[in-house]
Amino acid sequence: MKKLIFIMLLAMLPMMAVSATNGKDDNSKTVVFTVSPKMSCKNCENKIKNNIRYEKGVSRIATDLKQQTVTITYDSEKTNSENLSKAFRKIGYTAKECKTDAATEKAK
Amino acid sequence: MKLRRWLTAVSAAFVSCSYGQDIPDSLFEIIDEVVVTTPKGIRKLNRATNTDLITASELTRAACCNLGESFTTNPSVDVNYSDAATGARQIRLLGLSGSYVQMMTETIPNFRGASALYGLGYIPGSWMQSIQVSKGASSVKNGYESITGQINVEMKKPQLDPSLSINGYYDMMNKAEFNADGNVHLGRNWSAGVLTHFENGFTGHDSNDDGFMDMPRIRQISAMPRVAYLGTNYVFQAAAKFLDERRRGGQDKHHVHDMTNGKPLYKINIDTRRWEGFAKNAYIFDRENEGNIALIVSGSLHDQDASYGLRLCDIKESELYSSLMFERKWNEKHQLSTGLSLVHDHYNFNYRLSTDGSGNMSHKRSNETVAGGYAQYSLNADEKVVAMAGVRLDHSSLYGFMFTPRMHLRYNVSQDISLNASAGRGYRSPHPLAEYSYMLASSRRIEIEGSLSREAAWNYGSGITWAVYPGGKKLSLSGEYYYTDFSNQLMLNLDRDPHAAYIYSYGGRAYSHAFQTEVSLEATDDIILTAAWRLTDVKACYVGNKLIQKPLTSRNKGLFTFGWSPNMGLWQTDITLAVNGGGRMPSPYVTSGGVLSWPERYKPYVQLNAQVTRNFRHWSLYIGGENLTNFRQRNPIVDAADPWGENFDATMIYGPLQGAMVYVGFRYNITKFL
Repeated sequence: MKKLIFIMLLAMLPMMAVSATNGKDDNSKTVVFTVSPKMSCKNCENKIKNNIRYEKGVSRIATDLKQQTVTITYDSEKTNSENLSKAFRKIGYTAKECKTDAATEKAK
Repeated sequence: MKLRRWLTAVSAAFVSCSYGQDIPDSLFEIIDEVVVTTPKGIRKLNRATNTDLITASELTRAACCNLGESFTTNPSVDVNYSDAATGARQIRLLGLSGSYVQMMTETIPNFRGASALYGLGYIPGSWMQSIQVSKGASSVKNGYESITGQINVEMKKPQLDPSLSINGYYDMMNKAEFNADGNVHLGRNWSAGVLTHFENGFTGHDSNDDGFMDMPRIRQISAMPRVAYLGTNYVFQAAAKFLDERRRGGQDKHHVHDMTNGKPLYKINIDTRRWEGFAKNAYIFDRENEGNIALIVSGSLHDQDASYGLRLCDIKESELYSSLMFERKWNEKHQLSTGLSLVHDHYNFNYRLSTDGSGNMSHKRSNETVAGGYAQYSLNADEKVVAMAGVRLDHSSLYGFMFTPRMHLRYNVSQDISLNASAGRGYRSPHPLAEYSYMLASSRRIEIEGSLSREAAWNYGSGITWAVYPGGKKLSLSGEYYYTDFSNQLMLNLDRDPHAAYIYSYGGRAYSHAFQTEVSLEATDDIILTAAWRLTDVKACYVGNKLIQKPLTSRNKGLFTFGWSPNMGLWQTDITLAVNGGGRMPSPYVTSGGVLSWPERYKPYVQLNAQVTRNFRHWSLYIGGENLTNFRQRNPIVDAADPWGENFDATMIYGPLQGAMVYVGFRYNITKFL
């Protein structure tokens, strides 16, 4: 019985590996947002990351406290930047898209 | 309209940052001061003291059912079981007993005296917001009692975003646990919350067939309602806690078969009722400079009835703590904190220590009032040099004056290199019956010798952390060394006589050297690997005048962890491998059969834990295993076949008692964001 459960645990690892490789396809786009109120500490960053990650189509989120930006990589077939803005509003933030090329380059 | 939006924005920032930037840290931990010197995993705070921060998300990497189980991925803190029969978990820091660590809940000293033994099991994992572990002599603000360090547990506060959380847990040992907590905001300033916990071990197990349950069955119910008021110039927090616990250990009639020879079963029953309460008030008179006056009052009533076979020990303890503090900063560089405190402890013991139940009940009362004051100066020179120096003077109604100087220094050489050093004194009042009542789970005579004086020690420490970037990946390294030198120690001596436990005030040479290194690598965005090694050298004169190692303490410990959280953390896998070195057993004797009662030393052993978690928006499901290598201490109970005889001893534990164990659980959370 113990061995069976241990094997089940190990079987979940390949499942994780498969899900980890998902989301890397040709429809992926990146958008950079600035948020208000501003992210003042790690807790704010975590709140954003831990909630936005559940949005459909999101494959990567990076926050930068210094630059005050949130960079999201998503599948353009599943969602768009407007839906992502709505997601921010749900958790109490107003997100504005950063359209400058410089910002996108820096974030990369 | 504009005003409302501004107020919403301000309160959102206030609450979403969980603790607010300008609330004095006598009331709230200022989380935004964290400077991450190690990647994810355990974080070090940029303070003068050497403090590790373990956050709630860290705690979800392992089962962490309660505070006692929350240190599995932390190489500095060991958690051991004190004895096979009561399951009392003791922590060890710097190789020394957990009684030298000052335990605090929400920066208020807690779990002193009788509750120290089982206190780690009184805080459920899901209640905790974060744990700060400070090594070495800590700030004088909280008293003189920390000798090796301080552990502060912050619980979920009602001023966070309103939410409801539920957690259920079930494991192979037929233990179930259920936690629920929620909080609401009432108007602009008030918030209220309640945290609840229930656990029950339904059956006992005896995997080594010695007739004794491997672990006691525990049934515990606890609840903690709390309120908070956050005004512009006045901040208030109050909470009450009630706990009811029953522990049932010893011989289990299902497992004992024919071993008893007609004698009654040896049972251990420990019933505990505990009430706690605290109120924190702060009046902020100078918001810009964080100038505030705070008054903290807390109290507890602890009622513990225990029987170990026919040995009885009932303890009633009441405690009142009050602290008045004044703090102010000057241009973000200098900070002064001064205060007065008054602490009163009352103990009422009713006990009968004879193993055959003969004799009358003895009574003992103890009252101690300690009044004291402190002054502490902190310097923060552009985050480059962070220093703290403080002195305390206390007067105890039992032990007289105590002078406590403490000093901490941190020098951030660069963004990647940091050095720290500390020195300080600490004291403790001795309460042998309260601290060592688990020794009654044996036939050893308890001999308390002479008049007991308070414990005192000096602690010195130094450390370095630095980060390098091989191939663009962050590799963090740290090294630290602590030396604790006792001028007076309450000694528990199991060596002098294998059939007795001597407790006395020991003024001879007793020390601990603890050396630790830790390496942490962010292998990819999703993978963190850490490796740590700790060497502790703890010696005192247990037999004659020769300095020998403290018994039941491993000299070496290695810890390796692997954390993988792909897909933005929607999946999490954590594997922990601990290698515990060998150590010395208390002096054995030669049995009638001509052999040693137990080996003189115990061998190194390995412990492996793993957990996989899947996170959804509102749910988390996890499955994991502990002690997957199935290591169990062989014959943990000496002479388990004859617990009423003179050789019975269930207290000499150095390793796990339960074999491999698998558990499952779920977490549910809904949060209303402001």
